[in-house]
Amino acid sequence: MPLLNNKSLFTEEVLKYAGGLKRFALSLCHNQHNAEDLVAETVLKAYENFSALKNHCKLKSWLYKILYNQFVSMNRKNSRMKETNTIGTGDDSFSLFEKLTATGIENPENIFLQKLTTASVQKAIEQLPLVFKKALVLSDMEQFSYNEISKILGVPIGTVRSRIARARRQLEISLWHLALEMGLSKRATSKQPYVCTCGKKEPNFIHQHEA
Amino acid sequence: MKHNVNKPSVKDIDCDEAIKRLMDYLDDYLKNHRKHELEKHLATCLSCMNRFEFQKSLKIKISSLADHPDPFLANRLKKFLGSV
Repeated sequence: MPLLNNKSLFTEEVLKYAGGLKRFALSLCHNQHNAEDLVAETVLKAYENFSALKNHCKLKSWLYKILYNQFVSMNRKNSRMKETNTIGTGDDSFSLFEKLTATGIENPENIFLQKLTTASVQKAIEQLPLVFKKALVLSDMEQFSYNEISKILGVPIGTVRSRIARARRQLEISLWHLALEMGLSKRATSKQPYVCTCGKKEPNFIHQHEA
Repeated sequence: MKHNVNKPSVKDIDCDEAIKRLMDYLDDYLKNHRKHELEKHLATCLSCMNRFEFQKSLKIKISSLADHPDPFLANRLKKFLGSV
């Protein structure tokens, strides 16, 4: 594909992903200036090496991989990069939906979603440990598949899946604190049994559907 | 009457199993037969369907964070690439 052999066409193609690259960089750097530098270095490196890209349909994930590798090499000696899965692992069984529905308020999940601002979601994501945040950002904001994220971050698919799940759980814990601030906690401690469509009540929402 | 012996029937799954599969479904990571089993369960279980709709809305909220482009970034990068 000769498309990227032309500098202006290369620029045009790469700029389509500039916004996403900046978001990903910001999630890694927490700093506008550093994030923009990282994007600029990524674009430059991509321009210098685009002949190495065999399949130009993979330009997007290739750019993200370059950006991530740049970030890793820049921060190799930085203690922030010493990732651990044990940071704030939280409660593995936590479910925001269950917390909200246990409040006894009518349609609490809809009320919560209506009140939830993008700024609040952004803030909650920013507070996630880096190891989980980068997987979540690539999945839910940049719309990469598990397989693509695995290649960008250089970790197995199972690890990607587990990190995204843990990121979501921690995000839900933060959002639950927000829900409490919104006043969605009237009867949060009462154990309201779920009623399935078949009419059976189960205290822990475990219901076997018969064949 | 012909029977397709290779096509597995859509099994019933319980709420626990449905909940385990929800996010993989939203992430498009479920194999077809597991997807169909979940869809069958959701069609008959209002509680799980409500949970599904909630998780889906939350995921959309997160993805909407990508809807705010930086209008100056493209120009800065264009200038940067023009200078190299």
